[in-house]
Amino acid sequence: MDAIIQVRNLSKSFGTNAVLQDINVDIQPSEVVVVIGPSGSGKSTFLRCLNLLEQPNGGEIVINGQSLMDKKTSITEIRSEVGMVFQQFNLFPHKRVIDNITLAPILVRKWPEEKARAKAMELLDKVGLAEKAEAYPPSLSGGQAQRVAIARALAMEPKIMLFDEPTSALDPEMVGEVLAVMQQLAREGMTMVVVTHEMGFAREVGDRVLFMEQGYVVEEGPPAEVFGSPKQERTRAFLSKVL
Amino acid sequence: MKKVLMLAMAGVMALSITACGGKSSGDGDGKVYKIATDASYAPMESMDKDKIVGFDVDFFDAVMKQAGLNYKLSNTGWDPMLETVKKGDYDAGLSSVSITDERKQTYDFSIPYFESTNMIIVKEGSDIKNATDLKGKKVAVQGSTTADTLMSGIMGATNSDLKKFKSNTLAFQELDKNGVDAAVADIAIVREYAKNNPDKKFVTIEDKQNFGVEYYGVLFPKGSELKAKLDPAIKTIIENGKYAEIYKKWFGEAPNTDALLSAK
Amino acid sequence: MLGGFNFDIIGEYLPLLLKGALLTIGISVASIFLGSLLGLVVGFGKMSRRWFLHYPAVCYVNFFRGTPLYVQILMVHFGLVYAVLGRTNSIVAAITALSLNSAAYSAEIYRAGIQSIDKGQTEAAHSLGMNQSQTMRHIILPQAIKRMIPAFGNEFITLLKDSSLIAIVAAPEIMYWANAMNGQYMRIWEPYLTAALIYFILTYSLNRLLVYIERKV
Repeated sequence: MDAIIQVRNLSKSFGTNAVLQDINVDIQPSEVVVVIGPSGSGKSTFLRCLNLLEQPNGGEIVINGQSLMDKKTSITEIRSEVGMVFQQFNLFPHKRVIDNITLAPILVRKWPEEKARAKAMELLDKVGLAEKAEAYPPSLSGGQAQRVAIARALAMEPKIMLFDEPTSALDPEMVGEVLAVMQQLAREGMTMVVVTHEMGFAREVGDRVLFMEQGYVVEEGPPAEVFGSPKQERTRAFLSKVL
Repeated sequence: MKKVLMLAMAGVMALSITACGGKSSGDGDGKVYKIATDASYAPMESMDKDKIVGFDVDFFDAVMKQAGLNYKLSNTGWDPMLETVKKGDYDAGLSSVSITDERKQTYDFSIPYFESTNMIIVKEGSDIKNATDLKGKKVAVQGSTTADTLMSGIMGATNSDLKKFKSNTLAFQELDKNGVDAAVADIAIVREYAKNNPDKKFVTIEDKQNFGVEYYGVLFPKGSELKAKLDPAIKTIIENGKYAEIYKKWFGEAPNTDALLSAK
Repeated sequence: MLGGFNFDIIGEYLPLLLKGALLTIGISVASIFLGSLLGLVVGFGKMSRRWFLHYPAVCYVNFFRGTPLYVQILMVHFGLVYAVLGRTNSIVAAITALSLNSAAYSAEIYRAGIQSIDKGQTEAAHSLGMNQSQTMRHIILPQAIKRMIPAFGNEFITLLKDSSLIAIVAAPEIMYWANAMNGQYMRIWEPYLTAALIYFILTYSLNRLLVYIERKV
């Protein structure tokens, strides 16, 4: 089976600052890849290149057989297949929870309203927030908001879900409810790329861990290996600080 | 003791004499009279870069020299002039002010120093022949002038077809750009405008029936003592030919001084 | 007369001042409406990265914000309107000049409002597959407009007062009749205090309307 995400020699600079140097990664369908590393290592930038929120400067990204570098590729199509969950949730505060979720399927996938509503309620149920359908985002707690954000991304029925530090902005007591949802998703076979500091999650749910530093993938492998017996000195140094 | 007192008194007197001195001419009256004008009215008074020039300026200068008085002329604008002269903040207004009974209620005037009338200006091909033809038409005037008062009488003061502009220049522009059918203004102003715009094909119309003769006077606050000083000076200027000299310089012809002197 | 205050002449001119007030209101409403629409176009032009949209918009805003409205009114009345209609028309000139002027200020209000919306909103919308115009229409503008209301309120009140300048081209609005009253009777306080009072009533009413709208949105 071909890798659902193929990254070759990916590079990205902001001005003179080279944030991604030469990234090469293959991600298989249903794989859960966790990306760890110090801040400034380029983890978020790498993630954001996968749905073209950042424009790569060099290299190649192929998602689901389509090249992101090809001018003929429809960005809308790619983004319909790749969902993203943000650290700051980014829910639309002026729309009810249910409308946050149904908006994109109606506008982008051109679904009729009833279909979108049904899907939205199903997803809200799944993340445990069916009763909040009519509420507005500012009234939600952080954990609730992020679960709605996950439901919103899932409504587009993406093949891949990207998570950019999904629990970093949450109070500790709410981290668990979000990680539980993510764990369930993984069990259901979603391809996930997760940037996080939650090492417990990485160990329990991740199939593979990527350690990034200064724009490079320094080490990668199954969690047991990377956490248990890291090959690189830099990996060891980072882990000793966070574990 | 007496000698010291005498010396002291002499000293004080000497000091007080020197303190009295000051720029003066003629009367020894050191006062500088403040004169207001609205210098937007060529050829009577207008700005030439930063100097005020015009017939009124030269005329008044001759009058004040004749009277032996000092003065300073400031371009205050029309409304401020009316207000400050009324209150006496300024000693006189020199601005082609027509002598009217209504104004006489609030101000004093000098003896008449200029004969004028209003004139209609239209574009070539217009069917307007006199002031009564203007009824029902659109007319532009400068607000607060006798043209305004006269046309308000003919068309109605509250008629919005009688467009009152802040200056004659704007009124003439409105005529030029077909916003009105005619403009009415002082004959000197109209002639000056037509002279400066020969290519625009304007036609000037005199209407002796509807537009009577008007006389300009220097504007004073009520009860002004300056009037008594200037009236004889004005009379002298008109009689001794200085007036005619200035008039010829600005208008290229001789003035009708007899009518002026016998006017009320 | 109260300390020299002549109420008779106010009474005589009151019907005209009120007619003038109607004209002022009409001109202001039309200019606010047209100016806001044009401002949206200019605002987007200014935010655009395409140079042929960006630079004309920048020049437009700089010109209309950088030159006196007084001059703009004269230029529109004697220049633009004459060129298009073959004759001057003070009401057309007033609405045109005020709209063009207001659009420049409105453009900046739009730009500031839109750019004040958190980037995360746009990123979330894009990540869901929404394009630029969908994002603008459903996500950015609805949130931005609410923030722009105080600034627009300011602009509308300013425009209403600025409309007094069109007296210079003899549009028969409030200030024009106040000037006429001043010219006919040579009094200053009666016409101009009355005019000020009328303008105040209009701007105060407008203010209360904006407070109501801001609460509703």
